[in-house]
Amino acid sequence: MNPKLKLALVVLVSTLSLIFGGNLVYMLPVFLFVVALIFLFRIYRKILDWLKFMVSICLVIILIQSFTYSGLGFTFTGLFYGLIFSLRFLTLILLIFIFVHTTPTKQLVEAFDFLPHQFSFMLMLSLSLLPKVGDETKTIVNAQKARGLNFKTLNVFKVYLPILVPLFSRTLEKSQQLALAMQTRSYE
Amino acid sequence: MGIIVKNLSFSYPGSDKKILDGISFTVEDGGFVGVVGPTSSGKTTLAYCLNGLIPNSIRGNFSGEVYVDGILTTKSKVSDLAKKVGLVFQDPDWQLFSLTVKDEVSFGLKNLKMDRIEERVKEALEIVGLHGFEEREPYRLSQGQKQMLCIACVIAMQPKTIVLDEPTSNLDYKHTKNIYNLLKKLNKEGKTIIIIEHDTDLLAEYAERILVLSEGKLLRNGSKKEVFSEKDFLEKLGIKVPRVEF
Repeated sequence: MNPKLKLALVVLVSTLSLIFGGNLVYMLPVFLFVVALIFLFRIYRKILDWLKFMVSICLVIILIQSFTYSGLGFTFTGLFYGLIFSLRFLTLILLIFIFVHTTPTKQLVEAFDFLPHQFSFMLMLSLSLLPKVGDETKTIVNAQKARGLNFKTLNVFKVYLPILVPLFSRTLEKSQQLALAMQTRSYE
Repeated sequence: MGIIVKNLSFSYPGSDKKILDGISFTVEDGGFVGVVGPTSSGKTTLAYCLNGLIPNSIRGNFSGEVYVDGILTTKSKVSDLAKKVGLVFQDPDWQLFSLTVKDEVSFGLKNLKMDRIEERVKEALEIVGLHGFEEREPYRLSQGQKQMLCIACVIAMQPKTIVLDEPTSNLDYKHTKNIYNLLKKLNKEGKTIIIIEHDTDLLAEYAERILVLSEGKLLRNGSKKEVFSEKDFLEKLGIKVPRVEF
């Protein structure tokens, strides 16, 4: 499918989900349409890994809404709003997921080429850096594991600081090199 | 006219330590020069001075003069000097950012608003042996191919001089030899090659002249025969004495 058409579809369905967000009768068909897209593009296997994470976020939303909608204490109205809000959240996330996973990176950038050159260039640069940052993360995680970092501890700071600090400094340092490399190829 | 470096000194902001300390040398057009020295001897900083990244983009205490083809680097923009001197960095992963090989090579050409871009891209890829890879993603190439692509990006811009900062440090022997054979070929076609390298065996085989840097000072500047014959001097600095004939 043409990437621009795909992008237009994403914008349209997102807008519909935001407009109909408060009405379950309208929201449900939009959600089902997005689910149908998952089967149409056959990306259900890829989505399964993410579904657990997304559902857990939805549960948190439902719980918070149910118990805080009208003061502290459970209300059915809160539960209803929690459900409808989660549905809207899931629709938007799944929609972006489908768009990203069914569009090759080059087409993804092409879909945004109506934007000023600097914006589409920044998008291209960010997308091309993602796998590199992913590789750096893997290297740092493995290095910290080799040094005995225990990922099973519940102390988030103890686990993530030894990964985030070197990752951040390394990415900054490497990005600086990338900027230099671009300048040596006459980029101003 | 080549490259003329006169009494070049540089230190980074907030530091008194001179990374380069009163360096002077000349590289004639068509030369093949190897730069050796222990870690932190100022080799990469010197490479950045040769194409104007220092002091135009990387600020610090800069003194002295660097002329590229008669142009003073302090009086010219990096983007203009890129037409004269191409720089290949050590880590290819963080030099490549485009989504296809073709886009990567044409990036510099588009910035310079050069003509015959398609043709030049094709030529450059053919030279480095990446013909047919035009639509491939640079990220998915092997490390050797990535480094070749970096060289293609530079070749396409047709600079007179190519400076390479340890381009083979992450490569196996086969890819290293491929790169050196390519550099030799480019050198024979008239390009000036300045290469920073730890492997003195390779320099003994391919380079003509050797510069020895240590603690920011240029300690030797001579033919490979002169420099590599000083075994005690090299060993004292921690530089490997070549084991091949030169």
